[in-house]
Amino acid sequence: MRFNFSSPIIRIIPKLPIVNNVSNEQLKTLLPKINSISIKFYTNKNESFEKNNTSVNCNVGTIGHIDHGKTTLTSAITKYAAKSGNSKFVSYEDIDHAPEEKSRGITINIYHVGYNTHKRRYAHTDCPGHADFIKNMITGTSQMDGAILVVAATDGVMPQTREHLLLAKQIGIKKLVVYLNKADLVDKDILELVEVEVRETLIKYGYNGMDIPFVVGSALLALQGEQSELGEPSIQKLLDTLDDYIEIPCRDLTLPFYMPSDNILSIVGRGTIIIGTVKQGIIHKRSYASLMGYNDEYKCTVSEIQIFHKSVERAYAGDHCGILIKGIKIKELRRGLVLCAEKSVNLNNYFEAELYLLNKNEANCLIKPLVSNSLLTMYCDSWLTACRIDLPSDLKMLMPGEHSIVKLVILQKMPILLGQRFTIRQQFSNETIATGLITKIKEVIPFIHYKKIKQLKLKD
Amino acid sequence: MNELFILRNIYLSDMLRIYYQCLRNSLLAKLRGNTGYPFTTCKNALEACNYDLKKAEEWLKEQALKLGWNKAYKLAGRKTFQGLVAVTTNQKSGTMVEVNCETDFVARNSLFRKFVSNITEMCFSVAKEQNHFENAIAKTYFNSEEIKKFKGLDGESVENEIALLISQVGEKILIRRALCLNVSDNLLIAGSTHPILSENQSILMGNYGSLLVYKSTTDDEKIPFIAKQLCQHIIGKKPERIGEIDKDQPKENVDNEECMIHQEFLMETELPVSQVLQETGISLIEFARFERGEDLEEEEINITPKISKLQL
Repeated sequence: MRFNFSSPIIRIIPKLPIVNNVSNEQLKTLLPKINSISIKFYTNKNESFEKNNTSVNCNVGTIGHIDHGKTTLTSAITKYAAKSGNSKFVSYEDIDHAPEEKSRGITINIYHVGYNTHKRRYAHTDCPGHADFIKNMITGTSQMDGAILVVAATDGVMPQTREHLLLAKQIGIKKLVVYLNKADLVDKDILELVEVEVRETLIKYGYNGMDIPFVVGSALLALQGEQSELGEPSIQKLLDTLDDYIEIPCRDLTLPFYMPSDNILSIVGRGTIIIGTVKQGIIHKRSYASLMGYNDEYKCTVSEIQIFHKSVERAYAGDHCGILIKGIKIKELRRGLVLCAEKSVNLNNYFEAELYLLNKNEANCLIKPLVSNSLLTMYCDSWLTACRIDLPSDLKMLMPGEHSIVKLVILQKMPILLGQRFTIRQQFSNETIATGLITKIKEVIPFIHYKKIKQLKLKD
Repeated sequence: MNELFILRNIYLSDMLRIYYQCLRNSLLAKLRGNTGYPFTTCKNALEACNYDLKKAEEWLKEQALKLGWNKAYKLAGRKTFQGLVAVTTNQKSGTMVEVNCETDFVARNSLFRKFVSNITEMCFSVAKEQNHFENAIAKTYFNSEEIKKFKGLDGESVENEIALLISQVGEKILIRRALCLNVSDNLLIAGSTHPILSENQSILMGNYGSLLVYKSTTDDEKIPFIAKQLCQHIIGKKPERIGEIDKDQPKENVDNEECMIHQEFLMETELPVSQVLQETGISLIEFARFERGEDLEEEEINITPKISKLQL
């Protein structure tokens, strides 16, 4: 088995083609060597609800104590949405016996369902375990924008409800909606008591407990098609609440421009062409930008943008384009340099990350336990560099299949974004052994010599 | 006049009803806060005891056991891959216990951890009482059926304690195995877990655990520290046996090495374990390694202990 990690695997290109005296026509043929690469969006075309696709996607998930009805609720939602032709009904058994999903080479015990409301499309996840949630966060299979906390009104807040809340806080879920399940089995005054208790618990775990919306209902009744207040209408109310309350974080376009280079060409007399996919933001023709990476930073102007042979005024996130820049003199053009908006990113070589070490079924090589001060290779976007990994002082080692917050030092200063994902490979055999997510950027270490990287004393 | 009187009475009785309702609700909230049992169970308790808080609490304690047993029967078929491995040692005796549950959320629960540490302490007291002969190791291996029959620290049988815990966390709980060691005067025991999670210092908990019996020629202060690192090595590198320098040849690929002495030392790569032993004057006698949920798939009835052969 081989893995397809999102960041492409590149070796350093030894020499870049330098072309003299190119005319405009020739330039056009040069630029879109990129035609063969197309960007793939992973959607399942067979699903019937793809037809009336609402444009905004929102990721949600269910959390809550065992047997409080998370899976029943998920199933009930799909059934309700299926009625309006916006989803495919998924039964309880299907969700419960979800096969282990292999995504980016990492097994995640998770079930995804999709459904639509008139406002948005929802991708709904159902995770069974704590470690599964964390894995999900690191690999970024589906970052949750919000969560539905399911509490059975017959039980109230139980031990795992608290554990789940703690976890939700840890993986950065800001918005919660509470579904009080099994409301048909208790009196109204008990419902009130449960609500008070849940709000108190929410406040205790740092959520804005008084503002969080509550929906009272019974997932089982809704699944049976009951029309009374606690049945299907409660699901409708829950979906409406999700639409109104859960905000989708600003994505891509509003962020500063950032484009890692897949290929760089230098043309004497014309400038330098950077080819790549815009990761976030918008770039305009005739604007200023910075070319960063490998310890250096250059200012430049964008003089031409082309997308598939066509000259355009601007390129948006997701566009694969070639950009002609002027005003720089680089001794060595290397793949992995990043073109980004001026002063939007800093070069850095020291940061913290959440790291997941693959387990023996996921990796195709023998994985040794990771100890502090190991030297490995880090792959991110389209660059790679040697790195040193340090574990927290109370952790002696990291076993395969475990995750931890680690400190990383890379040999060359690169533009580092918060929330960037990367993979770690072994230095000589080049086998992928870990994947991670950058969580905190630290102070720059001024100068690192390759031979002394192991002796370096790290500040906290 | 008469009508007014009736109206007033209705109004009063209404007020009274609301008053009682509030009283009952606050009692219910209080009982739930004190015991942590589900709302409906608390309500049943109050109704059964005529809204007497103290009686209801006692009633709940009696019922909890019954509830737990019912639940335990209901959950009997479920699989338990998560849980904790706990290790506790003094220099002369040591014990290692594995307790399983269904999800890792429960493994993080303080109730569960308290339970595990109680069971470990219980097994530790068993370990200390074992008789050993001169220059030898006394070791006992218990499987889940055997442990169930023990009496816990507070006199309650372990079986009942499991049922009580099940009624509180709502998942199947299984004490899978326990290893108790006791050694004679010239030998020493070290133990460690990975990762080290525990509230008190004496009982270590984690996903992996190891116990090591060793001999030391010196009384250096560093020896217990090195022994602990060797325990970490056993967890990390998973050796099959200790191996002997004269008999076992090192393999070509160090990564596939099964003999502990020929493996690279976890803490300092490029240094074989045999060299560490030589420098520090430690000689290894025996080790045991538990990994949470290992081989659970194959074994259903028969548990064979994974302990390296006795070498004396």
